[in-house]
Amino acid sequence: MRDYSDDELAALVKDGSAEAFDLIIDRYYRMVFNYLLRLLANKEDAEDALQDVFFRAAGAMAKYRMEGKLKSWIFTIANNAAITKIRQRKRRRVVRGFMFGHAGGEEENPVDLIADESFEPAKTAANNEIRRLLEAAVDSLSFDQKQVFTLRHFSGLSFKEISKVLGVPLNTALGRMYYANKKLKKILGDELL
Amino acid sequence: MRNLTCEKARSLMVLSVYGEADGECEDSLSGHTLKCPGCLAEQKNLEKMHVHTKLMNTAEIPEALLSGIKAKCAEITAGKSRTPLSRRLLSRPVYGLTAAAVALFVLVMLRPAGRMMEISPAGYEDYRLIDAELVKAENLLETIHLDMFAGLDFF
Repeated sequence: MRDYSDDELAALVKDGSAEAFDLIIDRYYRMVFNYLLRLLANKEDAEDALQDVFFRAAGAMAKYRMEGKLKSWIFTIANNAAITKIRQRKRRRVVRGFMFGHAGGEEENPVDLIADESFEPAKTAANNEIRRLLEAAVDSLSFDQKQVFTLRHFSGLSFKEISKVLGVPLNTALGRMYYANKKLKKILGDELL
Repeated sequence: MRNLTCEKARSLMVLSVYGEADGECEDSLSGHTLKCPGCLAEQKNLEKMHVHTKLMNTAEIPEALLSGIKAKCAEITAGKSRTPLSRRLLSRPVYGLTAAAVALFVLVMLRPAGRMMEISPAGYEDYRLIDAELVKAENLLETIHLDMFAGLDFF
């Protein structure tokens, strides 16, 4: 099958091709899911949000303007879906706290998520240990830093695309990445570097 | 770009480590790091960190979830394609006008035959009695209203 560009696929979807949208899903679901998983730190929430992202994208495809920016467009939807999910979670926590007198921890440990069935085991024990430490350290980043770090590392967006998705200037995105790395280094210390 | 501040150099450093800096950026950065040992050390740290973070794995989603998403999206896109945007935009005024025409037709059909209903003398007496009852009811309501404002229990 020939390799369609994003805009070609979008045009086919507008013409009513479900197969073209399947190709868009295949192209982006891993990137989007990894972004959502890291941001939400909860597998169920990430799966729910992933569905929302593609349902919204399928519904709003007519609004997409052919500018070669389908990836940024999908990640903007993903970012909004993640923020909505976090807000819902906060509301649920407030209601639970009000009804049962406790907040109820919902976040799973990302290290456990990765250690379970979702992630392939690393090749060596040393790499495995570094990976474990890194996953835990990434989870401790601020929300803004985690957004940039995850979009770059797990979703493969360029910094220009990231600044567009998050609606911030390029320098802000770069600054957040710099400080994210600095914080990771501080957390991991000599164990890693 | 010759006189880079350390802050600007650190932004370029990120672009450079992640392979997104152009030639001009690279030149400016290397010019700065030659003179600034602090930034050089930062760059080395960033490069090491970048190598390590490549070890982080990506997660997979269950196959059933993926096929479920695809099936639902196929329904959505099929639904959208059946009614193109132009037809959808046109259909709103068409539906609106049709509804207005139907409403007008119903009103015309239900309209009384004459402008005023003709009332027979016997009928007129009935209307007079009904009117008197309505006046009584109105007075009663007014009394209740006044009592409520005066803080009195009517019942």
